[in-house]
Amino acid sequence: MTSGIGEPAWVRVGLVAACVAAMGLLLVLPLILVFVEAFSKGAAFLWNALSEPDAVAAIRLTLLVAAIAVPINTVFGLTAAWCVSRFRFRGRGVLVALIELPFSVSPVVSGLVYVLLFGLQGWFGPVLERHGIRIIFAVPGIVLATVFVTSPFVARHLMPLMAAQGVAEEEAALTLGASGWQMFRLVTLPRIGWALMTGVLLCTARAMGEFGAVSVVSGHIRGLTNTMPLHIEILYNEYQLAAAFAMSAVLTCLALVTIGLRGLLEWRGQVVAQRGQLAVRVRA
Amino acid sequence: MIRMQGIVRSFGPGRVLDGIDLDIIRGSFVALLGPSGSGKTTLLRIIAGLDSPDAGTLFIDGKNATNLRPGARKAGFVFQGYALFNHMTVFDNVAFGLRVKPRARRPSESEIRTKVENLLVMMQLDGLGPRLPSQLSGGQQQRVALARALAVEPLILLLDEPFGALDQDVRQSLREELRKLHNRLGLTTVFVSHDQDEAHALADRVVVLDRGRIKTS
Repeated sequence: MTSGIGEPAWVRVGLVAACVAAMGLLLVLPLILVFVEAFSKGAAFLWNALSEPDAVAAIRLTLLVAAIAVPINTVFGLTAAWCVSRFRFRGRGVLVALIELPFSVSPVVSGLVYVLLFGLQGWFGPVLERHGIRIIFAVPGIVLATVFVTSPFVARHLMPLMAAQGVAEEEAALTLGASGWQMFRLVTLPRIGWALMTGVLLCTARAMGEFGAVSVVSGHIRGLTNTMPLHIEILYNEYQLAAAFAMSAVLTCLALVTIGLRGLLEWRGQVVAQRGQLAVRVRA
Repeated sequence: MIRMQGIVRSFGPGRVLDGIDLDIIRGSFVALLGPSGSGKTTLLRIIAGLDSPDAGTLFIDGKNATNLRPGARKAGFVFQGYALFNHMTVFDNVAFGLRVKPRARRPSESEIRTKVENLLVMMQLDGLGPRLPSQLSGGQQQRVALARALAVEPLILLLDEPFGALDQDVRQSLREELRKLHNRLGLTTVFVSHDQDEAHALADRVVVLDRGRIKTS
């Protein structure tokens, strides 16, 4: 390996070492600690902590919320990215800014907004109450808050890509007689595939891990409205550290699987691209 | 025959097309010539159905086609940057228009194979079917774009700056080929160009556009 800029070797080694040390201290060490603590009282304790009814309910609710929020935000992200990259319309800039809003607003604030809208003292609260619909301190509120907080992931991943790709290939499909759906399935989707999957995976990771907004709307009813992050906080506050870390380990595993999948996808994408280039070189 | 009456198109405050009346006779080879911003590409896109006029009417073979969807106009379009489907092989690119036909009118896979192979031979692309577009030269990509447009047997062929990015020799040979194709298949061909020599060398008729109006035709 040669350095184009020409720093002395010790500078390069030093910088890399500092980087690795920082990463180890800030990222890897805590990760290891989670698993060490989770197993600190033995595998049997870990199993008991996770098979306890409230824990099972929390895991189930987290997966349910993710299973609802992620498809919604996938459709939303695709639609939003499509509109923003394909059409020029009044208020387009505002829409682009709004899509980013959930990233910049504190999750607690977004949770509070839903309480103000749908809570018993909120705008729509009395109407909903009369019809027997509960949103706040119930599962619908948790889903709503999660959808809001995780809505930018897919859209943000697709927007720059779709804007850069332009519309010519899609127009070509239309002139060749493709229907709108055929165009989307055969041309649009394959072109944005990798970015879409990355966005969906990140969205999933965040949906399972969201704490702030969900904490405000959930009401922390054990076995009913506690997601995994909320359950961890309760256990932690009750000094049940080993149980808290057991649940943390599960959540961390879910995140690691997600990130692993993402890495795998990116690696596969690169292999496919390289194979294409290789084929050119061989033929040339 | 393509007939345009009072075609107007604006983008924001600017009028790109300002009342275009133009008849294009069946079988003719017409060049739309003009500087950039003269509205020639917009006019071509309106004929293809990729854009719709704010006012005015477009007739294709006597029928009002102003709001007809692009795929129903029997018009093939060759894009400036070719717009090939980069994730598909050359074969799949050319076969695309046949495979998206409604089931009742879709040829069988073996018919598609025969047809695409014939087109590839005709466009001197034989043997390149399994390749990806990114593995071809510019001239070859242009041929794929032509083959893809011709696969659905259009009556009208529309080309947007078809030779813009090509070397001089490739350009010359492709021009001749296009002219031969036009004659052999009995197409009505309209192409956009900003090159005066090219327009006059190739076309039966040159329509000069300037700031959204027809100057001479």
